[in-house]
Amino acid sequence: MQAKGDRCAMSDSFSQTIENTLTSLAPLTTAANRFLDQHTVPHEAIFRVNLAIEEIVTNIIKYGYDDTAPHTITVNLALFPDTIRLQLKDDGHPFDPLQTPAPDIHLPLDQRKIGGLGLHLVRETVSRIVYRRENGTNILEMDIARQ
Amino acid sequence: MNISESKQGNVTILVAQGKLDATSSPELDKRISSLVENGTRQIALDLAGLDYVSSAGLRVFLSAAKRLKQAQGKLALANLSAQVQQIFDIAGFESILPIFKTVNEAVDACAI
Repeated sequence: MQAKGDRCAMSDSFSQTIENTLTSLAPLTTAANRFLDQHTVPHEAIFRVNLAIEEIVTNIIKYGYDDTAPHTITVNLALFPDTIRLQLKDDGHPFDPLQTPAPDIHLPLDQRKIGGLGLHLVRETVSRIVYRRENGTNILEMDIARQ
Repeated sequence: MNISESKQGNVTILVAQGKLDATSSPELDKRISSLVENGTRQIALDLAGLDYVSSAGLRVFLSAAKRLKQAQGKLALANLSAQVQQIFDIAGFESILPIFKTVNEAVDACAI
């Protein structure tokens, strides 16, 4: 849990770099929520930011790497009048979450698979999502409505 | 996450409060599994105090519904906040899980 903070109460941006371990997730969301609270971001928007961070970071940690070496994931938040911009960077293998097929949410209970809903939830709750690969880094940028 | 338990007739009511995320969801999953293993067949989940749910949480509800169906039991959910309801809608859960406005309705649905 070697979180590197770069926060300031008056700043409109937040950046934190975490290790690729699931135990890094809770301190990360706690810090991000503190930042969002300080800027009076409504609870509904904080919910959506938490969801995007949890789903994407969990996905990176579980499936993003081809080795067992330690890696880092950087989470950036920037506040705009109507939007919160969330950017996630990781050095895992190339992965574009926009290319994963949407799950069939109309299947009956018996045929529903356990799992596979995380990226779907993110795609449906953000207002914009863009992926790019740059110098061996996955960069996923999402805009989340502030209201 | 806080989980409390009570009984109304044969129906076990679980009240889940707080955040149901990747960190806390195994706790609720274990609680439901152990109830079913110990013979409980009717479970009503009161989610009034649940202020966050992610796919890890949805996974718990889905596996609980499957487990209870297999055991010829019943699961019903109640008191979803607007945001939790929205997540359920996006996941298409309203067609596979019985969701009610009040705990009493959920208990009645389980008891039938």
